Amino acid sequence: MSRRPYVRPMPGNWFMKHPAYRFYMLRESSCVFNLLYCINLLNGLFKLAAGPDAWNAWMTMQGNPLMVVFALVTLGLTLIHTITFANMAPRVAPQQVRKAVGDMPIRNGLLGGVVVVNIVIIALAAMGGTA
Amino acid sequence: MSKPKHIEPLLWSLFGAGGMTIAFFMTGIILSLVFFDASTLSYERMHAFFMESWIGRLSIIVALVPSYWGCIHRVYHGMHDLQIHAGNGIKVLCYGFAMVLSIATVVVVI
Amino acid sequence: MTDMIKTNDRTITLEILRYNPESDEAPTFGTFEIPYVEDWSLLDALEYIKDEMDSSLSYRWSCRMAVCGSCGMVINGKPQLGCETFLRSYYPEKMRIEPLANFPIERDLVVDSSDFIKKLESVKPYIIDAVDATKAAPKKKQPEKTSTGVYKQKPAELGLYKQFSMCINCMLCYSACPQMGLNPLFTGPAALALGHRYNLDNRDQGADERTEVIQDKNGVWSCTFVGYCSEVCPKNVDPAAAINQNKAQGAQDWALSFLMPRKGDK
Ligand code: SF4
Repeated sequence: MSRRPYVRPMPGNWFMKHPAYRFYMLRESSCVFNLLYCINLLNGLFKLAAGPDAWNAWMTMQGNPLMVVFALVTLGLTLIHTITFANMAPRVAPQQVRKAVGDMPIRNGLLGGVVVVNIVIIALAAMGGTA
Repeated sequence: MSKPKHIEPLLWSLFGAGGMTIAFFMTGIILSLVFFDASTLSYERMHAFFMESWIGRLSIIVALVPSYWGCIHRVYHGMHDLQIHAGNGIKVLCYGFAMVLSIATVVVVI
Repeated sequence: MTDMIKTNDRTITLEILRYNPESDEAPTFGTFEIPYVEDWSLLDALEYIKDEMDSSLSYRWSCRMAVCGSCGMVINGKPQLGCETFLRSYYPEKMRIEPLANFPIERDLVVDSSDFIKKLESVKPYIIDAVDATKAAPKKKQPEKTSTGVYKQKPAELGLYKQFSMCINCMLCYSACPQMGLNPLFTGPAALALGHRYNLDNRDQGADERTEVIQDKNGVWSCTFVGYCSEVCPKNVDPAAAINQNKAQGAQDWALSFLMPRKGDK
């Protein structure tokens, strides 16, 4: 009896082959959109530094339908990122901490903080409307 | 405690920080920019906050800089997932880009 | 068993990846139509095929009760134990059975696990106490020993690592991990979780000796927290958590090695 182990190659599209891998790729794809969006924000900061006209032009660009679609896709992926991040966070915490606190309180505490901070951001942004 | 021979622990910490900042800040920022226009987010108010106040400048640096590193770290590892075998050149390019974005952010608000 | 088969004319189709190293260039699927018996596990079905249809069918099994970890296989795309998988969960659909992914196929459903064994050994999965530790003085407080030389351990101390000690070496997590396929040098979920299990044990002083393997590029840093390993694990070991706790630990040590370079040098 001769041994001749057969090594199967990793398919180039392995991430399409299983729901768990597809979701992983969706989760990871958020980074591309978030990066582009952050660059957009950095660009906005440059415009803000450049003066009122540049800022207003940048703000108009944010209202462009294509830009809104891009922002909403980024938003959706950001939410997936946020939830998966919160789900994974307690499992990265030291085992001693997990045993003392429990996974759910860590996860929920994190998500609660996320909700509060984001509401504060939106509230701060909205203040100019009434002032 | 032995000294690791690679800087992956540092890059991973930045990635973790970036994951955190994106979770904590991006949803609010995106929603604000989608819903409010220049009459609400006026030049005067935004400039006063992000370019003049310490708290505004600090928060935008905290929100953006780790996010760049986190995203780029994942892009770099994503290439490996897609079986693009990026060499050291690409690696330097990726994290170098994160560095450039970080410096630009700090410079523009200060 | 034969009675049950006679009174039952329903059948289920099994597609099994076959590979005979002596005659086949590459693996191909073989199709078997077998009697559908409601309480059969997949292992029972494979046994039926081997006894009644094709005695050349090769697969590993032993305990039939999810303890030995021998019968791991990929069933309709998901790594599972054959003994824990029942035909009734799939009937009337067909079942597609492949050997564990990310391992070389020895024959049919039997894979070559020698690389996995090497990786398990590489994390020194045994208690290294202060006497054996090759590195400096113990950092942890040594637990008390009984008069017969046995360590005393409190339930809470056991509880800290218990989850990571439940592994049955079934290798389902290796099959589930795409990073394993992308980088065969990756130490992998079960082995890293096992190393973590000993690091968390208060009787153990060997963490320094495991660092090199655990903190290597091919150690925990090859993981991108896909997390599927923990989903398929039949014993809830959560190897993904073990690996990522070590990344956090590694990051902390890395930072400390800058703040206290003297201590970092060994
Ligand atoms: S960690 Fe779980 S899936 Fe992996 S070998 Fe051990 S028991 Fe099997």
